[in-house]
Amino acid sequence: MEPRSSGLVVLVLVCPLAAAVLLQLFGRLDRRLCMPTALAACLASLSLTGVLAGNVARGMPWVYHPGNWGGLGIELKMDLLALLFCLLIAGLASLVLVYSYRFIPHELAPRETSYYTVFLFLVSGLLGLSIAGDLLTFWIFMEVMALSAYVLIAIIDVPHAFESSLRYLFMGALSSLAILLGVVLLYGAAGTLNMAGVLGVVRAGANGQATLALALCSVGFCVKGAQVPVHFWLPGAHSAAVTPISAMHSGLVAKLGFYGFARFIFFVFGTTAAVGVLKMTSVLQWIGALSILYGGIMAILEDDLKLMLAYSTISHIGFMLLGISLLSPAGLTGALFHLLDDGLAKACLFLCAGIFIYRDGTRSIQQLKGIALRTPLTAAAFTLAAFSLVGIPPTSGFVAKWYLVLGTLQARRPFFAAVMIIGAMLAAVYAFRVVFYMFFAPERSGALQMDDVPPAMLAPAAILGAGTWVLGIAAIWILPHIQRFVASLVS
Amino acid sequence: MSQALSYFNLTVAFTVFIAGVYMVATEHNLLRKLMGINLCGAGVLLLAILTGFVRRGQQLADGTVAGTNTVVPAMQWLAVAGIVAITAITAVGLALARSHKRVFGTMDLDEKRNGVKQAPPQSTPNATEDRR
Amino acid sequence: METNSVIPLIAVFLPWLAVAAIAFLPKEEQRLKKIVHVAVSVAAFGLVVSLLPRALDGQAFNFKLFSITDNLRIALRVDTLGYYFGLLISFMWMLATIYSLRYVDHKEDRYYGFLLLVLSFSLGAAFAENMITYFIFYELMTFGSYPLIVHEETAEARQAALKYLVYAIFGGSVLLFALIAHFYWGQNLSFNGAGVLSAASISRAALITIFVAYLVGFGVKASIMPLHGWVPDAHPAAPAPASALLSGVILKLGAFGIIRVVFNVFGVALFKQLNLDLVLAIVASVTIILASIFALTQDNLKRRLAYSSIGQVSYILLGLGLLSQDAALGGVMHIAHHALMKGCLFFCAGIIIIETGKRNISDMEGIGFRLPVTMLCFSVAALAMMGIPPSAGFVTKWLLGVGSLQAREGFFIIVLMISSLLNAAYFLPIIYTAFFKGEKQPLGWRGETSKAMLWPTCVAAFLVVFAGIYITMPGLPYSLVKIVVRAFVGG
Repeated sequence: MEPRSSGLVVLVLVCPLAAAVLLQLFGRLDRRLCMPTALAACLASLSLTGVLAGNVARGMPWVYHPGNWGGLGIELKMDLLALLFCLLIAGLASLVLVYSYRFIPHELAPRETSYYTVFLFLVSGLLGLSIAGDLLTFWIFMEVMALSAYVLIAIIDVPHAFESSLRYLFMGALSSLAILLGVVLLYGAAGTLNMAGVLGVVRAGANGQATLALALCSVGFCVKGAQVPVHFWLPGAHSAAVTPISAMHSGLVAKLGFYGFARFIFFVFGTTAAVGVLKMTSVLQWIGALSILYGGIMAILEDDLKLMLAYSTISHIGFMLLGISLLSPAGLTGALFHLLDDGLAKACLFLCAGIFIYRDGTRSIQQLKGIALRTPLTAAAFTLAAFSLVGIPPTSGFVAKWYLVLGTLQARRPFFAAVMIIGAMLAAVYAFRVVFYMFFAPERSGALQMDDVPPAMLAPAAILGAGTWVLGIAAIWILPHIQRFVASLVS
Repeated sequence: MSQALSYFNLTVAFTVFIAGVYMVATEHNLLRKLMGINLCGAGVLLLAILTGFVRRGQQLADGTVAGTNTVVPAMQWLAVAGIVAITAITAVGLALARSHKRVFGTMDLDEKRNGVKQAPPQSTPNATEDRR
Repeated sequence: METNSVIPLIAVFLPWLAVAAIAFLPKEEQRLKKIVHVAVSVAAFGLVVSLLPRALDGQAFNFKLFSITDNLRIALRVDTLGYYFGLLISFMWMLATIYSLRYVDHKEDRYYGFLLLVLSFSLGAAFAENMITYFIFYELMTFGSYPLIVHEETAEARQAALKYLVYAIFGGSVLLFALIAHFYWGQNLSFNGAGVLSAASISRAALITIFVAYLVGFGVKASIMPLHGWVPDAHPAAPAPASALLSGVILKLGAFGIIRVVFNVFGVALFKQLNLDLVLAIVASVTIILASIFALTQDNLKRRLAYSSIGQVSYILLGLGLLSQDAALGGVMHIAHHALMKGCLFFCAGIIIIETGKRNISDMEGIGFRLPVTMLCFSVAALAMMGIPPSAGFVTKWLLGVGSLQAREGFFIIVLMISSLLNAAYFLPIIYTAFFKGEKQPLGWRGETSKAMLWPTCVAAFLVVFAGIYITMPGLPYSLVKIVVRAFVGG
């Protein structure tokens, strides 16, 4: 169906950008203005996306051609994939902002204004790369996102954070440049930057340049998605950051590196080219499988709660990479859905971890023993999300796992089905270990009391925890759209 | 001829790019690592500019034949964006490196690890106000 | 005959009322809460019973909840087999809930909350229309019963519950694989029909893979050796009513899953054609003999009962493995008969623990004088387990024996005989110790124990005998199972 043009598309990402500028201008007057302004911007993006949703769900994407660039093919495009992620990004960012309202003064009081400003840049970067319709716009917004991400990790000002942020910066910059090199090569091959345009040329007959470009982009995105063996920057970066930022990183930033990969594989190279020319997918499958197992095992060995979650992120991005590189419809559906559900679950888990840090100052899993007596609601939210992480029905994690494993069978690779199942078992071990310590550890004393943390922190965690279950049910309405979308890609 | 030229371009650009990657991977000093990233970026930009240059008589992307030696606007735009991004990365990297020096007393990762210098001065809560 | 009915749905979700009561009633209202719990369990039983006349006519009740795709839907369909199991579940739960009133004296909110949730999930599993619905309820039931096992919170209970969980996660993962493989190759998960897989379109290797994966997945719950490890630990650790339900219902959910696989997924003809019936019969026989031998060596009463359960559940599988008309009849009827007998035995063991604190059989000298009614019930149920007529146990053993002759596999009669001998060898000493060892005392008829515990025990013991005499009475297992077997096995 014909895409329709609307300026609203560009407004979605202008909102946080404008708010960031406003914050720098006026935020210093009164620090209490920062959070509401940022929240208003994110909610505005969210509602704008909501306005655009109806048509997209009916199969008509929105496009917008900024400026009059004519032949360059610069384009913003809100298709179903972009829509889902914009909703996820704006929604998650709003919740994290609410959470930050009480958490941030506690952790980095003097830098509140900077925090919210950079946070908004991060959000606009994420939104921008979701709705980019051409390679360069995609790359630019990816850089906006990455730069904000480096800064947000270092903003906490502890020695460990600088080290982690630097390591992240070096890896991130190299991967970005590798991807940019790939983009240049693609332009050389196709003569346009527009994703649809490139796709047409590459499908017609991929040549050496396109092959090289895919190789470079794959490496770049594997670094961004922290896959084995280039994963080492992630655990430090995710655990060193302030907790709301860890939630954003793990829930969105690391995933969006992967999201980019999905875009490239399916929109730029087209599956046929990727399969036919490259034979590269089997390498990627193995990388994904290794990451699943590596992340899972390391998470089990870890005692630091945030580090454990960071390793779990590696494992779950491995699921997505494996799902997508199988190039089967079900695998792709599962990978895309997993992106959504793991975003919610990881964000929830990190926010809960933040509540424990805020309250008790501890990150050690051993010290969480019996904490459910003191923070029952937080522990409950954590448990809900842990169920989704493991993929117990009827959570959204189960839906994703269902399609991922189905995808391995469709691709006739039952071995990887076993890997995924083992990965899920590992997830059960590391996630439920925490749950047991919280609820059933022997070191419990005292009477049950309600959580004495601010509701502004509790509510986002609870909403996300419940969201993982609601999404599992709502999958009934979301999945047909994703499947239709995937069918249009794979055929 | 154009095919040979394009291979030449690729080779040059990749050599510079790989040199940058090598630098980031092996150097111990943060500033040198950042320079490595710039070198990488130079490789990419080089290829962008070479790709964007179209000689008289060659076919453009839209099928027309270039009347004179031209540069493709898309690649110019890409190069500009790339320069801005690399500058920004360098700026953030330098700021981080400075903080690293403030906290650990050195910009050299090797020195930090082996403790050549005396024990690093601890960062104090007061030192966190670092706005400029 | 198919009718749409909302009653099964109400029965499944009615227990949530009790959870609501726990959540919203004030803490002091323990008495009112208990009334709600009992009322809910009685009402659930009543609702299921209200369907009895129509179920006896062979009617099936449909209720579709929602569908994801055409052949992937969440729906309830109470066919005769499901109805039979649902009736048993709700009845056993009613007894156990009443029994718990006196037995459980700490953490009541948690206990009753999960007790009734597990009722909801188990009923949902029994009434499931297809394998995915079954799986979802089954997994929820698995995790919901964890708090029941860990309830006492002693070190050994915690250990046992952990073991349970490890086994359950392993089983669940394998089951998920089985389910996805079934969906991928079979494209139809429905229980509606006698066999949805066909050898024409699916390779033999795939069919066997599916069956083995199902057998292992459900086998963990049905405690097939060597997957039984959690059973002897979990039963002694759990409170007596929970043990009764574990043996009576939760183990059976595994066996019930295998019944569904044989009758509805593979269909009897295909099952025989693949020679899987012999595999199942041999696995079951080994388990029966080994479990009985292990039971002999146990001094802890509940542990001995647990080993007995492992063997007895395999009777059900043996009936399926023989798959002649009478063997299937006996096997499926054994679900209910064993639940009554073992329920009664565990109720008795609970009374002994509460009234005398004794857990080991060697300490129980002369206990029959202190607890005459209890030990009388115990003796009735124990004799029934050995297969002494007239009792429920005799009926099923007789049917299995006749069935093995019908199937021309007389070898299995020897298994049954050895097993009966071993049953006698481990049950008779208990009765002997209770009544004939130690000093004679006056019988303590009065004030033996509280009525809430004694009555359910007596009812169960009465039914054990009653079902052995009035075998064909409508509503008792035979009347329902007859319809099932006629539909699936023929005759």
